[in-house]
This record gives sequence, C-alpha cells and structure tokens, in this order.
Amino acid sequence: MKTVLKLAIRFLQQHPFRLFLTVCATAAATCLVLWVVSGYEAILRSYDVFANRALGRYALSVDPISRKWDRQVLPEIVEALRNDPDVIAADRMWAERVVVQSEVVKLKAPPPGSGSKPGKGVKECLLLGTDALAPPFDLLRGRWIGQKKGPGKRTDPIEVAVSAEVAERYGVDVNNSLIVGRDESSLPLRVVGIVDNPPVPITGLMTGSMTLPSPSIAGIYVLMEDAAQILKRQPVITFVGLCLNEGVDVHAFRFAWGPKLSTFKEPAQFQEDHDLEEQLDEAASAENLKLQSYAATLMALLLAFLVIFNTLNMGVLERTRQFAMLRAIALTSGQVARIVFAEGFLIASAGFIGGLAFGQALLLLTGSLSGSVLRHGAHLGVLGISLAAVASFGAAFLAALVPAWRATRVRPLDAMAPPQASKIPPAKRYWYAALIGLGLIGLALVFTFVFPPTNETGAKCRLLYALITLAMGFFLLAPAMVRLVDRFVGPLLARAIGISPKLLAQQLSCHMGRTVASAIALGVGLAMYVSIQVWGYTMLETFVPGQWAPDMFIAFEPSGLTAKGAEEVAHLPGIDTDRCAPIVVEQPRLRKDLTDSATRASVIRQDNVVLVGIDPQKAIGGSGRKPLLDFTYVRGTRRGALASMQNERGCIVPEHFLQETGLQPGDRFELVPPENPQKPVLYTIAASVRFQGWHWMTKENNLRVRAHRAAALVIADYETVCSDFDLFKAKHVWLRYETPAIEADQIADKAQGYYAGILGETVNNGKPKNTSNTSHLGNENEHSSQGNPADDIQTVSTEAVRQTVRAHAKRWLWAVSILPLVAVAIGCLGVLSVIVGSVRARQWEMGILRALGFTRGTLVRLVIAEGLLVGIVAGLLSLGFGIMAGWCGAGLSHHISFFGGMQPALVVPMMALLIGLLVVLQFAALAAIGPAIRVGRTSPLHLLQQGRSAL
Amino acid sequence: MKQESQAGSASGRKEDFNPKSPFMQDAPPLLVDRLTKRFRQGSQVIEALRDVSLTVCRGEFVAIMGASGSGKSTLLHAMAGLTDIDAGSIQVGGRDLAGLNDTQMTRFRREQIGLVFQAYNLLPLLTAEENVRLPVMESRGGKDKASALIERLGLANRRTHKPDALSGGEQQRVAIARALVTDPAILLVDEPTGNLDSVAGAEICDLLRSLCDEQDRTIVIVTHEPSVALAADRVQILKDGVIVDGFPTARFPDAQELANGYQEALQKAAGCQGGAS
Repeated sequence: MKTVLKLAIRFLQQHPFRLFLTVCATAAATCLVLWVVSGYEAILRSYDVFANRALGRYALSVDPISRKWDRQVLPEIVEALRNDPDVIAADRMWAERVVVQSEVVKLKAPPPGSGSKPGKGVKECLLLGTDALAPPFDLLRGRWIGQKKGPGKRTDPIEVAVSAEVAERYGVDVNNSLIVGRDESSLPLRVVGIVDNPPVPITGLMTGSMTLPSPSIAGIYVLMEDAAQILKRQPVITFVGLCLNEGVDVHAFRFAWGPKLSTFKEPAQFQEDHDLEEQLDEAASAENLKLQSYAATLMALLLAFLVIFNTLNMGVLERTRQFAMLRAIALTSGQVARIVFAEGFLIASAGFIGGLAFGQALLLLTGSLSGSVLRHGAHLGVLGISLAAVASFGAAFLAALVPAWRATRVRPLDAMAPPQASKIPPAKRYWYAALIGLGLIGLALVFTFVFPPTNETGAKCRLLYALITLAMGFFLLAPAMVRLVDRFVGPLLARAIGISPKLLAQQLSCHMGRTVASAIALGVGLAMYVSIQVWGYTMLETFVPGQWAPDMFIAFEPSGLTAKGAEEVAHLPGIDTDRCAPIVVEQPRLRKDLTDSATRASVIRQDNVVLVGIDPQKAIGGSGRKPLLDFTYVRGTRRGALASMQNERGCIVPEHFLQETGLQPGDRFELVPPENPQKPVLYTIAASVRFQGWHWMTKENNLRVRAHRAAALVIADYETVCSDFDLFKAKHVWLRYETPAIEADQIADKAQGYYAGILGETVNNGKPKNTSNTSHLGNENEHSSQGNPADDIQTVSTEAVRQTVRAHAKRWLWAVSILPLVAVAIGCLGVLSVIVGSVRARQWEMGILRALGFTRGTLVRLVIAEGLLVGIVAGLLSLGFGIMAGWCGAGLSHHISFFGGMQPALVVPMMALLIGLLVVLQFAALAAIGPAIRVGRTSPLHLLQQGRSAL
Repeated sequence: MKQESQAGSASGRKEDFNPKSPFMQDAPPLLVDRLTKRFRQGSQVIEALRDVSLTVCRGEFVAIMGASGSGKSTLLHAMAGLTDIDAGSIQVGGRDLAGLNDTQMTRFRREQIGLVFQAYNLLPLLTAEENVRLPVMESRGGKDKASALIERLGLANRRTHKPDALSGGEQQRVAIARALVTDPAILLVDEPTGNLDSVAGAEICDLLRSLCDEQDRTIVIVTHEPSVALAADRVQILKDGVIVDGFPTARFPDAQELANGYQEALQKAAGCQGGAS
C-alpha cells in the first residue's frame, strides 16, 4: 500500500497545474454543497420563527364563514373535529376586547399592529378565553393557566397568562395583578405566566384585525369559564385551534374537512389567512430548499466526478507505458488500479479540505451580509459536511472506476511497444451510438407526452425516467456531435479566426474521450440552467394574463357602485364605453369535490371557484369588435356561450377545469353559497376557454374574497350571480381602454374624482393588497386598524399584472439559475485542465509548426479555437438536453407540481438561453487563453524539446 | 493446442504459490521447450515462433540474434511471461509459467525475472534510487540492496537524480539495477543498447558481462547488434520464428567476425529452407 500511495502521489505531482485545477474544482464543488446546505439549514432555523408566527402550536384554525356580528363556531363542529383520530386537540377560543388596567405603571401607548387600540382613556386589550391545556406559544416565565386548578374549581383572583408585549406595556410580571373592567364591575386578574407571542407581524395587516382567528392576537389568555365570568355571558366559540397528529398532511386534512365544515347549520371554514398560507408556503419552501440542497449535492458530485474523471483518465492514458512497465516488473493489476483510486482519494481529500476552509469563509461572509435573512447565522453543519464529503469522495470514487479499469487493462507487454500516435477512432460506431441516443430521447418524449402518467407516483417515476433517458441519449449523441462540430463548425471557426482549417481539423475527434468529458463537465451547469429557464418560462406563460384579460380593473371600496354609477364610470374619458362592465364576485365552494382536492390539492385542484358575474353582452357579446373578455374558445362558441349565460345559467370556465374535473360543455355543477349553504346553486358549462393568467388576475385584482386559492375563474351572468349569492352592488369594474395610448394613471385619476364626487368626500387611490380581504373578513366600516385610511379606489392595469408576474418569475428563475452558472464556472476548470493536457501533448507538433514558419498568433488562435469548439459542443448538448428536460418537466409538472396542470405550451426563452450559451463560450475561451498564451510565448526549440520529452 | 493463458485464472493454485520458494537445484534457470506462438491478423494466422527450444544454464549469458520480424522479441516476451503461448512450455527455475494467473505471474516476474527494456522505462518522477527500489519498495532490506546495486553499477553520485537528468547509459544502468534488485533467477534484456551511442552501449555490454562473470547471473539478451552479442557466451540465431543455428562467441575475436558468422548461419539456413522447399 505504501508503494501504491507513494506512486499515486508522484503521479499526481507529475502535472501540478492539472492537480491544482482538479483540486480547485473539487473544492469548489464541495463548497457549493456546503453553501447551499448550510444556507438551507440557516433559513430553516429562521423559518421556525415564522412558522410559529401565525398559529403557534396549532396547525390550523377554524372560524365561521358568516361575517355577521353574532357569528360563532358551533359546538357540534368542535365535537366532530375532536372525534377525528388525526386531531390531537381542538381548542375553543373566544376572543373579546376588554378594558384592562394595571396597578403597577401608567399605561404606555400600544405599538402599531399589536392588536390593541387605545381609546379616549380606555385601555383595551384582547382577551382570549380558551380551554387549551398548553400555551399556543412558548412560555417565557411562569406557568400556563389552569394548571393548579382542579376540575370545576375556581381560583380567586382569576389566573391569566399575558403576552410579553402586554406584560411590557402594563409593566407586569408573574404574580403581578391586572384589573379587567371598570369601576364596580372590575375584576382582579393574577398573572401566572408570560407567553412569547410572535413579534410585530410582518404583514401587519390581518393581525391588526381583531377577527383574525389566531392566538397570536391575544393579549390576555384566560380559561373559558373565567372568560365567561369576566364577560358575564355564556362562552362563544370565535374560532377553534387545531393540533394534528404528527405526520398528518395539513393540506390533505384541510381539503378533506373543508366540505364537511360547510355542511353544518352555521358553516365554518379553515382560516385562509395570509400568515397561515405564508407558513405553509414557507414549509413548502423549506422542502424545496431541502430538495435544492440534495440537487446541489448531486450536481456537485457530477461536476467533481467529471473533472476528476478527466484528470484520472488523462493520467492513465498518458501513463500507459509507465503502468505497463510497473505491471511488467512489480505491480499486479489490482495494485495499478489502487494507484488510480489513491489518486482520486488524494484529490478528493485535498478538495474536501480546501472546500471546507473556503466554505467556512464564504458562510461567514454570507452570514454577515445576509442580515435578517439568515438571522440565525449560517455555519457548517453535520448534514452539510456529510453531503460535501459524499460529493467529493463519492465523485472521486466514481470517477476512478473507469480509469482504474483502464489501468488494469494495460498489458505488461505495452511497455515493450513503441509509443502510439493518437488515431481517429472509426466514425461508424459514433453514428450507431447517436442513433441509439436519438431513440432514447424520443422515448423520453413519448412516455411524457404520448403516454402521460395517470398518477403522481407514476409521474415522478416518469420524470426520473425521462431525465435519465435524456441524459443517456445526449451522452450517446455526444461523440457524433463532436464529429459534426469538428467537421462543420471547425472549418468555419478556423476561417473566422484566420487559421488554416487543416490545423484545426479533427482536433476534438482525436481525443474523443476527453473532449466528451470536458464538454459534459462544462455543459452540466448550462444544461441545468437551460432546463430551469425553459421549464420556468413554459410554466410562467400560463400564469401571465393573456389577451382575454381586460385592460384594467377598478375597485370602488367600500360602497361599490349602483348600476347608474357603473354606467357613468363607463363614460369616463379614456374608457371604451362599450367594453366596460361592473362585476360582482363571490368565491363559493364546489358542492362536490370535482377536482379531487381532498387528496391531490394543487393550484388548480381546489374546492372552490372564483365566480364573476358580468353582463354577458358586454363581456363576450358585441358586434364586429373585440369583446371586453376576448376569449379563445376551446370547447363551445362565443355565440352559444352568450345565449347560455343569458338564458340557461350558463358559465364560461377554463379548459383546464374541464380536464381536471372531466366535465363537458352542457354539464352542470353545484356551488354552495357561503352565506346560505343550504341552498346550492347550479351552473351549466357553456364553453371552455384558454384562460391564461386568471390566477394572478384574481390575486392582483383581489377577487379571491374568501380563500387563498381557487380551482377556476368562472364567468357567469351578472344578475344570476347577484341573485344566487345575495350580492346587491358591484364593487369592481373591468374595462378596456378607448385607445392603446391611454395611461392607466389617467383613468385612475378620473375614477378617483368620480367616486369622490358621488361619495362627497376625499377618496384615496391605491393598489389592492394581495393579502387584503377586508371587505369580507374584516369589519366593513373599519378600513384599517393601523390608523391609515383605506384605499377607496383600487386600480390595477393588466399590463402591470403581467409585469409583476414576469418580474417575480424572472427574479425567482435567475435566483435558481445561480447554482447552474456556478456549476458552469466549476466545469470550466475541467475544460482548462483538458486544454492544458491537450496542449502539452501537442507541444512537439506545435514546435514543428513554429519551426515551419507558423506564427505565435496562429498557435494562440489554434488553442483558443479548440477551447471554443469544446464550448460549442457543450453548448449544443446542453441546449438540447435542457430544452427537452424543461419541456418534459413542464409536461409532467401537471401531475407533480403544485403549480402544474395548466397545459402549458413549450416556451423557449431565446434571450436567456443565448446568455447562458455566451457564458459557456466565454468560459471555454477563457479556459483556453492561459494555455494558448503559454504556447505562444514558448520558443520553437523549447516546444520541440518539451514535446519530445512528453512523448 | 493453446495453453491456458497465463493471465487466466488458476484457482486452487494461488494458495500454494510462492514465488520465493527455492527452485529445483538441478533445474536450469530457463528451459524453453517446443514453444509455438501464433498471431492472428484478420483471417490470416502468422506463426511467430515455431517449436522453439532453448535451455539456458545457470551463469550463462545467451544472446538471441535475428533480423527484424524474426520473432526474437516475441520469444523474450514469452520467456518473461508477458504474453501467452500456443504450444510448448517455458520453465523458469524449474517452474512452468503456464497456469500462473495474472497476480501469480506478476509476483513471479517481480521475484524471479529481471527485465531490462530498450527504452529504459524509468518513472520520470522517481529518483534513480527510487526507480531501483521500485520492485522492493514494500520489502525489508530493499533500500540496502538498492543502495548496494547503485554503488556497484557506478551510480552513487547519481542516486538522487531523476531520469531526465541522467544520460542514456546511466538510465540503462539504473534499469539494470532495478532488474537486479530482487536477485532474480534470470535477467531478460531487450535490445539494451538500441537507444545508446556506441560508447555507452559498450559500457552496458561490459556491465552485463561482468554481472555474469562476477555474480554468476543468468542473462538472456535479445539483440541484432553483433557487438552486443559478442559479450554473451553463445548466440542463438532466430529466423522466421525458428532457431536456425547457434554458436559460442568465443570463436569470434571481434564483432565483425561474429557478424560474418551470423550472416553465414543465416545464409545456410536460407539455403536449407530453399532446398527443402
């Protein structure tokens, strides 16, 4: 073993620069893993805080659908929930505002968004009666209420736990007292615990409302019966906090229970609060990050594998004679193989150690720069180090397999043979391989699109199959691609840079193995980048509002518009009078779970729809001109839909809704009016249309009035919707501009002026908040709890929505693309190593060229051209793989991704791909510049001498 | 009939195989018996060696001469166990090479066969001493043996030099030292002066001769140069894969005479073959 190790070290020393590059690439790959995984762990730690923000220890909360003043959750609902084996606890919560005084210090003003409102000399605080056995958030000091009481026994004074914020505001601590109520009706409260309620909420909007069904709004926690004593009436269940068993899928639970909750006499719903959604989204993000960290490990492993493979493979090829001699005089084939493995191990060790050191430095730097994002700091963790070790040592092991096998195939007899000049391998086998590769690529497409999977598991398997098949296909295609680039691109490039095509001829094909390996090393990052971009843009287009969408949306809050008012708005300057219509909006639940949301929820598999009532004639009618809603009809016709909407309770739905539900035009489905669940209403599907971007339109236009997501945007007759859902006034208007030159701001100003005129007071103009459901969930007369006036006119142009969606998606896509671009840089080290090796092997040949009169510049251009050719091969392979993988990914996202299912058409973002390709070519050229200059600066004699010794 | 490949498996023999086990005292260091080796070129079968028999006694220095393509290198490769054979047998120190698997063959070659190559085949990153020690790097006393050999071969002041800092003659001496470091039963030398000038070549010949005379080394050398063959005790002439003649070198006073004798033998063999045809 000593001999093996010693020889391995000496062999590595033979090419110090190559060793340096390989170690650098391995260290960079290690560092990449550490960076991503440690960042993931740090963000995950930060998420813990956010996760506890909304509901504390509760997974969900249930509150009444009704917005009436006497709304409550029925005790039967609580009982039903408690009987579910997945439920650990269903704690009743009763939220009421009370007047509280402190005996200790004079009251300080409450901070904004704290949930308390100071009045004129009134110190209000939110009292939360509960029968919870444990605090919803961590206890800072003291104990939880009711823990020293026996059943049915009362304590005197009443025990309460207070939030840390209330404790600070009232200057109380454990065992201090507060007084609730005024004068003779006051009661003393004894503080037994301080609860670490979440800090000032990030969104700041919903938590300001006292109706937010979350324990985070509580200032004082008290037992239910004590709350009844304080408030001097029977307990009311304002909302219910639900704890679920570990492992229960919150989404699945919610979708399974949603329909049941709506069937009670007083229907209830799971709170769809923005914070809650954020919490769930963050959990999903954490899961995504986790996947990203594994993906980064895999990619790092692949990169390190390719670079180390190149180094070891080149080493074995160059040392064939030395291995043969060693086999002849001393070593067995196993020992020779062990030399190669030892080389790989040494490279991995150096790369791992270097990666750890650099990774630590990078994490410290990232930690100091990231501020609040990584507020718990990023540092090396066990998972990160383990995955980094897997990436570096695993890659080295895998990379050594083939070279080691090759080394064992070296015959001792080869030591006797004269050195062989490199030969161009026969092309025929490459064409056969390419045919097989094309077949595999075709199979991936067939199994993705022609025979699509039927379930999620099948889709995941299909995706894995597609990726593996595509990778194998393009790998088999690579040698033929090298030949083609050599044959067709090489001469063009040679002419372009002013060298003889014969000098460049078949430079790549002569060293097929290392050319393919270096092209793949360089192309891995680009392939991933391309697939992300193609997948992202393909998915994105279905979320960008299409040509159907009106130019602008205006909300008139809180009073809405009369029919006459709506007509007057249509006549405002800049608005196309014929294409401006008031709309009424409701978000009812589907009576039957048509989308199967209970078991496979996704962005379009939901249990409710956004229903928009609009005058059909204005929406899709019109003669000779494009209507307000310029739909492309997939099933059904405009005329048929118009008639159906006007006469048969017809509606227009997105095509994907039909595909998800299996419904056909002419079929009917039932919707449950939220305020009147006993009387479901039927709608007939009149037509299906391409409805690109309805999600974001409903989000940005604030049309999702009850739930965070919906299965479809359904367009129906105005009067029918008003009648079915007890809606009396339109609060929103959809419109088209009179001319394309109209500015949205001009119309907004006119609408603001008009609305101020009819209200007789100043109104504000703003954009709807994505999280705001104030008109339905909040007190309609209470615009904001934070002292800011509400936006009375809310205007959103569709173009702004488009820009928002695209900007948001592009930011995300580019953020995700950083990793592949880093991979391109790492792969570049592999190419550099190959080009250095290639140049070294051709020194003698280059010496002869110089001796024959070729200039330094010619040699420099020759080497750079070789690098560029490798880059072109890498680019072509990556573009092919990336586009195919992105396309298959988008196709299979229908079954896998939460955001899938929209039947996206392939979108190839040419500009983004061009940028990626240019980056790769630039890296390839950069990799070649160093060796090129070195060759250019070496004298012909030196080249000949060095070349001879290399032979 | 093709014998079992030397690289093939030899299950059951691995356990009792010991390359250091003492040879049979009366066995010659090298015994080649009716060796036949064929190569296939497409559909054509070429007989590189045909019924070649050769016995080399202990302390004997034998030169195998022949023109290019006569089969002398193939014979050397076969004797070194570097290539499999189609018929006949080769015994080194009384041990038949047939049936040794690849690992056994490697160990046997390392311990019992010293190989010297025309192109030296030194590892460029090892010093002269390290190159010499290569076969005994894992064994005790290897360093001392290597050191002694380096002294003996006049390389004491070059021991820390790497191959690219040594002359051709010095590199070949290092290669000879490396071949001798395991104290092999036989030294097989392939065109040792092919890459050397005449002076360095003569020095190498003298060295080999002295190894034979002073250390009783058994040496088989393959060459086409009469001046090199002159250093041997006897010459075997190979033509078209067949040993056609042999003679002691003592009857030739110089290389020119030996060259004449070699030519005569070749012509005689050609005459015989012509007559036979």
